[in-house]
Amino acid sequence: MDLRLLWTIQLAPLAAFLFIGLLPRPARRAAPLVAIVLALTAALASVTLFLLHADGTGLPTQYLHPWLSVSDHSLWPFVEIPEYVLSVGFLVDKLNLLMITVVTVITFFVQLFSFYYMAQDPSRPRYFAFLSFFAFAMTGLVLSSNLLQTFLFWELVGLASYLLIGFWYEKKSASDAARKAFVINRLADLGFYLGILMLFILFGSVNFLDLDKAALVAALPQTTLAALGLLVFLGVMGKSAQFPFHVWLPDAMEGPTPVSALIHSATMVVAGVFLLARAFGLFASADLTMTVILVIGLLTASVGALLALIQRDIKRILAYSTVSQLGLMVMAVGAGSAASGMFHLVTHAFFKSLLFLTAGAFIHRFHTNDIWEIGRAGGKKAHLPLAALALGLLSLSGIPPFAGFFSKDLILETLHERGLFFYYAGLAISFLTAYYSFRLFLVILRSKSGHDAHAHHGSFLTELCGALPLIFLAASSVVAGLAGTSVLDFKLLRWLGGEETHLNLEILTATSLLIAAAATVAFVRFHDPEAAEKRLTAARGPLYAALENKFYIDDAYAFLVKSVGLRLADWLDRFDRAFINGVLVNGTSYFILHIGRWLSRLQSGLLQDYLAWAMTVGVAVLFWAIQLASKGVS
Amino acid sequence: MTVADIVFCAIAAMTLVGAFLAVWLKNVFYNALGLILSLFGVAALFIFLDAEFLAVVEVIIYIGAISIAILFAIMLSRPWATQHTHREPAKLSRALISAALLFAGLLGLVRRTAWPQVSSGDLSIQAIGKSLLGTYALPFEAVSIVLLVAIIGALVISSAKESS
Amino acid sequence: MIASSLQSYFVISSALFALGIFGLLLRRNLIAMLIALELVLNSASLNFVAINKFCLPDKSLGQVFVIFIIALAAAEVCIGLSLILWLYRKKETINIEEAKELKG
Repeated sequence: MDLRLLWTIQLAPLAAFLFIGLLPRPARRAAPLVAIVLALTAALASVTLFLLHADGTGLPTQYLHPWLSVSDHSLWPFVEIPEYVLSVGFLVDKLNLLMITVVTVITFFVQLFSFYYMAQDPSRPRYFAFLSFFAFAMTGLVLSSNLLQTFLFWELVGLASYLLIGFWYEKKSASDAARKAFVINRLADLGFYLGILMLFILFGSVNFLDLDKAALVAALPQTTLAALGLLVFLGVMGKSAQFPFHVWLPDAMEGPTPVSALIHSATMVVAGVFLLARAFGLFASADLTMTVILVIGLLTASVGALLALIQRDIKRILAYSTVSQLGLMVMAVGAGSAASGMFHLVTHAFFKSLLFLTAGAFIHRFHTNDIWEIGRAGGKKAHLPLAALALGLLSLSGIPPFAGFFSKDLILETLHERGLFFYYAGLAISFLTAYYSFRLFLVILRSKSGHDAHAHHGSFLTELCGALPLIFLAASSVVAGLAGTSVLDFKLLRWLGGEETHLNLEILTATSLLIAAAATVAFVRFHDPEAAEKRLTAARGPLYAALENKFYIDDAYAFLVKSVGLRLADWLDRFDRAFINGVLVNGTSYFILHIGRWLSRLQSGLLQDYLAWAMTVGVAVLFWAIQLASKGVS
Repeated sequence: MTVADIVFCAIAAMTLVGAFLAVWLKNVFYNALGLILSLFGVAALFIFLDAEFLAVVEVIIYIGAISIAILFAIMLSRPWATQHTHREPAKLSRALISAALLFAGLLGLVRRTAWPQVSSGDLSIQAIGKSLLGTYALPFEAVSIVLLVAIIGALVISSAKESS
Repeated sequence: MIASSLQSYFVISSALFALGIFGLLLRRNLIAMLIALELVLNSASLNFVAINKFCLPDKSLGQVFVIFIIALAAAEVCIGLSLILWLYRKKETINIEEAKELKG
């Protein structure tokens, strides 16, 4: 039964992709239906699987099929292994089940929303095909049983991301953004792949169930473990947009908004965090790795939060917010608690995808991304999106009793245990998060709408598809958090391997005060959005310039590429032409030609020359042969 | 050192001197004459080796026919033949060295070999006749065919028209 | 005795052979080369006859062979001279260094 469900979950989206691709032109209009139905199938299968194992018995299980077998044991000089077989297959355990349920359910709702959002787009079939392909790859990533298989799907997910970011490829900014995302991810994946290879060679296994902290510590020295952990973390940094590889995520907003909701907030970017939790033993085996993870997470969270403060584009605000929240998740894992990281991953998936879909609703209705323009066009009159926005932002800011509060609270506790510096940093980031959330809401809410909201109604079905996901995700944002509290007996926490916690009063008061302070400051500055806008456009000064230029990180990359990379490439090109082509290739042919010409002088055409050769060299050889023969005889 | 030996040495000297003249002198007519001298010497050596018939055959055929034919050819190509051309030292030294090496090599080889000595046997002309028409009849006939072909070939070549 | 030692005949025939090769390598006139070639053939004949007397049991073999050599030499000279004369008629020269068509 399990296996059948697993195959359904894995193959339904692939079937959607292939089927849509093979549809004849007149039937293309059925593409969304195919995609949505199969996404629903996958979601239902996941939920069923989850419920079947809800009591946690029989986990973890693997369904493996041998793939490659290596019998040359000299490849493993460090570890004694009788026979190594690399398998592919499904792994089912608590972490997986939770993740796959979240992924497939959110995927279904995003697909549903896309029916509303992409209603007018002529390339709709291609969109649903790629979205289904993404779902297939993401599912494969979550369910895979070893690092190499994960890497395979990791790359496929990156490909899907590229295809979807650059969906409107005629727009140069979109295709540039897609390329940027892909290249940065690929670069980071180099580290990931090296890490996998080295792990394979030094440890002998890349199976998740074998990556036990105790086994690793016993097998390899600390420096090696740190190196391995850091290399694999490089991949995480790329995929989960950690500093300094975070630059692709804001640009990825060029893609359609449902894509941002699904891929760049809820599922793909959290694949890195998921991997951290999945292979936690590998990272936890070296203290250096954990420290680096913590510090990078901190940097990411700070940079994300700071850059969100001055954005005008609603999607950009949410994108930087995602960067910041990912940083928080990574910090949580780096501080030692994979459970709190994963808890926040789950709650964040719900409220962030809700926020992006809300943004999508606003963008679809008012045809602009700018929050001031949305406000002026009558944003506050769009009741359902506004309410959803409010709920999502409340959850993001970490206000009880919404989901975000519980998960962020847990993270702050973890940081507190790790060290006061990190705890204070976490608090500061919470402050900033609340501030930009309130800023966003206030601008839309308090803008005076000069003209009537452009009421554009599609068919009832389309509007329903636009509304239902918002409702469901809003509800989840409220409820999901409770699964980590005493209300639901800490079910989620225990599921993730954490322990029950009690409400830490100190943290509670600290966060409440901060949120209140942030709200006040935001209200003071943004209660009159028009004045605020004037202040924003007139603002200058070094701090503002730094924020506006994204801390010049993109410029640094451009410099690296142009002045270092391209120059190196140019030098190599000249070296190749001059030396390899000129000396080695041309030189060799020139040399051979000349030897040939020199040797051809032997062919003088003169009889006496040939005769001289024969009479000296030929006869000498003859005599030598005779001598050899006579030696043999005698 | 008997009289035979002295005569032998003289004849050997004649042979070698004739050979030397045959290759060294620039006038090709003199070369032909040197050849004739050398061939006479070889014939005499054949007599020393109890092959009288061969000596006679040598004189009649080699000197009497072949050398004369050579002389004919020389006469027919006279104008060029009398030109005294300069010898390139490089070519001369190459020829000299090759010849010297060959001579040394051959001598060395010959001296090292243990030749089986069998002195008894019939050297007479009757024996030759019997062999030629008995055991070696096939090569005998083959050689006659070769001679026939040579004659025909020479006729063909010399009767070829100017324009061909 | 010098005259009855095999080695002395070998010396003479080796010298004849070397002189013949020397002439072949040195002379440019085709007829001169032919003459040198005759010397080589003669040295071979001398070898045969010498070995015939001292080493062979069947004393007619060597002589028969020399007969053949002489016959073949005659045939060869016959054809060779016709060719040389024909060549001379065509090209006005019998300098072997003019025959360079196979150069390269």
